[in-house]
Amino acid sequence: MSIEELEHTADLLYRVRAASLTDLFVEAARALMQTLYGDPSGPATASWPIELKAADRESLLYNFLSEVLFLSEAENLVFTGFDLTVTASPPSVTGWLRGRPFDPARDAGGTEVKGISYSDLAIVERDGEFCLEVLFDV
Amino acid sequence: MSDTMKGVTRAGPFEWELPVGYVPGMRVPGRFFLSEVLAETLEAGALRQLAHVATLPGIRCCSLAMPDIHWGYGFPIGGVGAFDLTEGVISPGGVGFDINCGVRLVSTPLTEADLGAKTAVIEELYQAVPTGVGARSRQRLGREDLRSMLSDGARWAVESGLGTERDLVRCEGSGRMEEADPTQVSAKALQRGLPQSGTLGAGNHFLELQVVDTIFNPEAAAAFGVEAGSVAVMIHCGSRGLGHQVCTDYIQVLEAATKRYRIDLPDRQLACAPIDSPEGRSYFGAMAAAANYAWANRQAITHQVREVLGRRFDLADGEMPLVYDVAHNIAKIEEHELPGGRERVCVHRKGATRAFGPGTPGLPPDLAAQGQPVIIPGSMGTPSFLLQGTAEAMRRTFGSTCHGAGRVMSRSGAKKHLSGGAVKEVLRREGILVRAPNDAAIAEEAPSVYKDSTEVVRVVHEVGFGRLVARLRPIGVIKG
Repeated sequence: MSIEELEHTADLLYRVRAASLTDLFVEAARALMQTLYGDPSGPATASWPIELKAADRESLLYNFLSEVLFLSEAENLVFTGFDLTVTASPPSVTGWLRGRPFDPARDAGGTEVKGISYSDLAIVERDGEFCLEVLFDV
Repeated sequence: MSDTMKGVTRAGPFEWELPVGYVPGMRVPGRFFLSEVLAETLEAGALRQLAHVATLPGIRCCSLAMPDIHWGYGFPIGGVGAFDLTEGVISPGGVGFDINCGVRLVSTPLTEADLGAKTAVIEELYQAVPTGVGARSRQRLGREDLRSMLSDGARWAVESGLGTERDLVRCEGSGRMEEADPTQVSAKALQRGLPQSGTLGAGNHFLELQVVDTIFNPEAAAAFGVEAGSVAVMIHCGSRGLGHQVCTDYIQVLEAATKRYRIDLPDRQLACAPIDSPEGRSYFGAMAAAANYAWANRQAITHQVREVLGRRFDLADGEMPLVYDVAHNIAKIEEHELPGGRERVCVHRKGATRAFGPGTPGLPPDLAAQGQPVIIPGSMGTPSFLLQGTAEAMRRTFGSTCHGAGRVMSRSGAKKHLSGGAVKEVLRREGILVRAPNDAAIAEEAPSVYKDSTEVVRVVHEVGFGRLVARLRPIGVIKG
């Protein structure tokens, strides 16, 4: 599993690799949390259920990351763990987001993410590995 | 010519054309404006995005990009597209997540010497205006307030005691889009908007103390209300989480609409719907409501700034008048001169600023002879500029010009090559104090990651999409 930051002039473009679709979604969510909060570690004290469906895998990822972003900002939570099950057919994600309350002293080391972009958003499966590129508007 | 410019035709000293056929499905050419120096940093991705906009149904004239063009998502940053109201589409990809991100300039009678060591006033402003990731509003707002912000924009703030009637006259469109339909804004967006009113945000948003160091056009400067040697305050922010959520929600809605209306798109971020469709009207109403939130937000921040400066330097609000407030991420219905006569079109400006020329209907009477004030922010270490809108912009770019310097280095590159602490120290030696939540925020927004604002504005001036009025030198920066 890996998260790699690629060159993009204005925003943040990540390439994420994982052995399964579920791990790919988990890593993408971790990339989002790291962008927002720098080092989103620490024991979880809150859990939030998540259940989403979409027409295709890319839409599912867009919906999932957008929902994680919304919940983090609206509920003032830093998510540190993701217990997910992601299926490709039909595209769905279910599970729990685990985290703790936002702490300004500890979590102000990142930058704001305005949204998840569909531009060039693609999930590719090759040689048993899943890979995606996703752009965060910052 | 670099590989990036392959397939591009030169159309003038600063003008370049992407011919139809540059990418499949283009309905009109692309047109952009750069000096050769600026062309050296142009990315292929930005040109591809400019061409993609040209494939959208109902686009009029051409897909345009201003001299600060760079690679974004959906439209390029610096992109302008005008669409026929019957045949054309509206797209969140032409507005962006930060709906009505914009900039305003407040003048003061203070000089740099009046500020003293500056550290104290910058710290007080930093404490007064909630800034950075996770910042929460100090205002106690209810749902009714929020609905009024969405409907009434800056007027809500003024009627709540956060400004003066004159402030409204000096906002683009009086700080309000009448097409706003708060019923089209989701519960999620409202939830994000409620605690963020009056907050600056993060990333490239800033609050900057500046000194007016050069006046290029004394008559226009006097009309706009800026004086050489005086301190001004520039505020750059947008519609916060509320606007971000409106964009997120409607990309999903318009994705489905794109399929329903059988629109072929080269990029899903350009999800769109006919302007006069249920989905298009719904997005436009929600976007306009978010734009109104942004104007109310900038007005609330202005009030916080006036409170600090008023207390420290014994100034009344009237001594700190608003020069102007412009949006640079927005879609608006405007009337423009087209080959068949005057026509109402939907103008998308994504990282582009309205630049209405002298005599354009809707300008405040005292500015009608000069044209609209146009505010172009620099970066932390480079100057900002005040320009006036022009007849040439009305004729060539649907009354639009650039919105800033435009980035040349990625954020990852900036963090790799620059240290926030070192950048801060270099700026301090140049007389520019920087206050930010963390050093990484300073590195990511260092002056060297942006194009030279002076060169961008020179091109704008040369092509006539804005005429120079004044230059403002930064002396203190609060980064979000």
